[in-house]
Amino acid sequence: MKSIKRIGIPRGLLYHRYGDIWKELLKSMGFEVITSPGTTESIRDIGLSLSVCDLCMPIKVFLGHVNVLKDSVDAVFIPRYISIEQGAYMCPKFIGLPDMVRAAIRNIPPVIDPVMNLKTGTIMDFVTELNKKLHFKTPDKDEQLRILGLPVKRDYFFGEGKITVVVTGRPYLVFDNIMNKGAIRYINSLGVRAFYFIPDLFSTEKTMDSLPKWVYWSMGKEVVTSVRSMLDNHDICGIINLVNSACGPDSFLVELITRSFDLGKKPYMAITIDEHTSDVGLQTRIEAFMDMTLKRKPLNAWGGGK
Amino acid sequence: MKLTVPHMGLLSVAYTEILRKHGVDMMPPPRPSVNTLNLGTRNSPEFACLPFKINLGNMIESLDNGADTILMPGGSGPCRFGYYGVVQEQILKSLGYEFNMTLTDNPDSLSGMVGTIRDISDIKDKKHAFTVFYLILIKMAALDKAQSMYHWYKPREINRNESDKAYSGAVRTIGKATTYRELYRSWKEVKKIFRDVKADMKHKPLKVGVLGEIFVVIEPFANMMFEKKLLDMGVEIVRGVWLSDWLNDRFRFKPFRKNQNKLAKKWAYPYLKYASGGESIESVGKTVKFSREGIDGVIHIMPFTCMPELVAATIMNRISTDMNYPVLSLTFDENVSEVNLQTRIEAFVDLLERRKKCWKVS
Amino acid sequence: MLEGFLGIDVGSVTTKLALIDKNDDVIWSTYRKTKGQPIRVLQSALRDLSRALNPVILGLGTTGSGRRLASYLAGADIVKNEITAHAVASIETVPEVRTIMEIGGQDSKLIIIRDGVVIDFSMNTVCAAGTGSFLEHQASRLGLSVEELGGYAISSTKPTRIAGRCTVFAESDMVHKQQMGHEIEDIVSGLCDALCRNYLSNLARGKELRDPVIFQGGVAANEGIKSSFERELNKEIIIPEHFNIMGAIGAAMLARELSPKETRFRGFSIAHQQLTTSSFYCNDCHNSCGIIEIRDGENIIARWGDSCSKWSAEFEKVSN
Repeated sequence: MKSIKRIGIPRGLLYHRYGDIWKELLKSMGFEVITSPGTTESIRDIGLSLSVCDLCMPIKVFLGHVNVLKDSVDAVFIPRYISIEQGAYMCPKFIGLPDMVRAAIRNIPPVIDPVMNLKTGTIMDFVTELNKKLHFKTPDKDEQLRILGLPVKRDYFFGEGKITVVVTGRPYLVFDNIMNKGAIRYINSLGVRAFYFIPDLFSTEKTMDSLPKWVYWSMGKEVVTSVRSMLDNHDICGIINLVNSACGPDSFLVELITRSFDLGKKPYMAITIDEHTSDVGLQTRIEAFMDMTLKRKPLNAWGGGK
Repeated sequence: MKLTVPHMGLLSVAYTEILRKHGVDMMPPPRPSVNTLNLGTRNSPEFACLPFKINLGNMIESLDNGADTILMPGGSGPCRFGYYGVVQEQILKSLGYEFNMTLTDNPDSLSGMVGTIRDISDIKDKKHAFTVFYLILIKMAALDKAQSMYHWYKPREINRNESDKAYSGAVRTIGKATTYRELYRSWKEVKKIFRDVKADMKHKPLKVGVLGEIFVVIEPFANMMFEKKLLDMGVEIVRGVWLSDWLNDRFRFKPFRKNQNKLAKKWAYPYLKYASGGESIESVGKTVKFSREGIDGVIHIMPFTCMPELVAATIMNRISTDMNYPVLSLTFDENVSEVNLQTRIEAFVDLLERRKKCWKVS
Repeated sequence: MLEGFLGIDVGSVTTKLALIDKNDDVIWSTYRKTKGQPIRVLQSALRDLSRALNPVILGLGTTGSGRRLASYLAGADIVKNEITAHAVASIETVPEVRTIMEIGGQDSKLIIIRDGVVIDFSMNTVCAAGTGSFLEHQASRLGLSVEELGGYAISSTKPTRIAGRCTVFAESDMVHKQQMGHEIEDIVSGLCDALCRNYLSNLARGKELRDPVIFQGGVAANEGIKSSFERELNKEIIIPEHFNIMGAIGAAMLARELSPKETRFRGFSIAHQQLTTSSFYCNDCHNSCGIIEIRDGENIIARWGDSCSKWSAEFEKVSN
């Protein structure tokens, strides 16, 4: 087997959450790390042509990213995230992701797919498997564990403006301008600041307890909690939930959100996006939503207490 | 208390009479029909999968008929099924129905199921509940066996529709059994029924493997009776997914039958290394298995937007080209047109026939 | 006396008939719009055939989405789906063919062939964005007929990119482009490109399209689509002589392959009968099948649509 020097990380899906950690981890082991460029229309189109029809867009685009990388690297790093906490899973498509990539793309360099399963295993298993798969003989496991345990950035502001809306959704949709059809840029262009955050454990548990059953998808949990905890926040004027149209968990969670929470407290809108969405339609909806929120301002008196 | 459970293939035949005998006021919903689907679709989230919609429609129908308690299995992921009950309860409540929803949150655990039986029936003894539960399981296995016999006889029958009658007779006979002794007797009768069907034993029909998401495979309404269409074309169906196998993998009531899931895992390993929920591992594993067992082709069916089966479909696509083995993927939802489905199935069967003739592949 | 095998292809938009002789040469053919009245159109086509040639029919094959109807009506020896029929006809015309693209009124198909055997196929499921209806609809938006589109498309030099996969969204995007002042030629050419992209992304995903590629179906008459496909695939595309009646030819060939001793064809007299159709729902079980009947005056001559063969048993003569 060819020795591995350059490792590629596709810029899609969980890269938008853990990408920096992965990069640092692989660099600390002495590998050269290459990431694919930000999503472009051509990457998206290649991804679309590689996949089965009904798959959701983020997976399709991810395939496009892998395709861009495959010729310039010795291995592709696609960790298999099964579960990142007790009692919750990732989406089934994430669990099968490395296998799907192998099946969909021909002539692909080795896929490094260590398993992250905190439901039954530990982070140590992840590190051990990673070292084994990369034939890495001299690991500094303490250092590796330290890097994997680094905190991720939890609050993000996009753009400038006096008014703030909260944007919730999967990180790979929020941070990818092609994928969200420039929704966030458009929000900014209206003079509104967008705020995205990862809710803390305490509010997650509180929200989950208020539901009939805990949500068992980690990312779904975040979305539900973000919406719930921002309903009472007076510093923001509305919530926009970006949803991918063929997203399995979200098809239920959007329903759950509208039925379980008192959405009368804050303007809330779920925007469904997929590769067929037209820019004009999306912009109309955002604009109408902002008009609606601004009209409510004097009634609700957000921004200055009750 | 009038108890109702949404339909899932022949499952209701297995439990209805037994639970009735033990004091449960069973009120099975009508068999899924166009009306069920319409009711379900109207009240479901747009991108919910087909089983969800049919289940919901069934619940509405039963509640309209006077049921007041719904029993719904749950689970915890990663497939959406575990969250069905919660969302359905909210939808039904907002439609103004009043009822109790019993969610069995752990359908995989024996104690959970035994507990459920004790909750709903007049059985208070744990051991008794246990034997009743196993009777239901074995009855389910008998029903599945009868269906697989039907799949074998139908393409070989000499008098048209004789095996259809035998099959519906068999289901009726088994359905009546409420004790182990009765079940044993009815099984003997079923064997006799099928022995009487005149069949051409030397005929070698095309064999098509059917794989996919368990609900659409075993519920004929959900798959628009596509198995019947295949059988009518004189094709033998070899199913890779059985409800009794699914149950057997969990409760081990047939100790001599191998754990199908573990078996499938072994076959699937070169392509899919971790089960990503649903029947993904069975679909991939059994495609590999069927291709080596002389089954002529595989039809893989799933509900539209089914997450686990989409993983499987992507991989099966590759297996199909790598091994030069025909795989037809069909997705089902309320928008599938019957004509289109019929054409694709017919063309697939033609493909298999011509392939067999021209290439002499066994 | 002229002898031949007849193939009938009743599609969603058009009805096609082809008469071939024993050497598979086409003697007579017709291509006409169904206009929602498949029985009338079929009758008038048969009338024309008997008037023109009055041949002896040795065998009849039917295909297309209305194949059952046609078979019950005319008495077919073989009823085949259109995918097989198209493949049979194409393999006969171009023996080394490896890819067949077929775009009809509401269905589009892609058939992959290796060594003269169909090994894979795909067909559009719910979306009509890669079919002839899409083109016709958009043409009427632009005030053109479908036949004119081809000429417009090839005279364009810089095609406009029309977005949207769905018929409705493509329309709104087209209107948008018109408002921006794009030339009509460029829009038409963009439309052809859009149809091509839709077709390829709906049907050709993960499939290997190898030379030689045959393009057939009613839409193949359109030069613009052909050149779009050639650009997109970077391959030469063959359009067979009888591109729009290939299904009917295939059905006739299948009937010829079968060469029944005695045909089930009811004779040209059916063309003069007073035929009416009616339908009802059978509510004897939960399936609620829709039963369809064809009557000649008071006589019921065919009935089908049930899953238990309770209604259709006495009319079951034709099997696959």
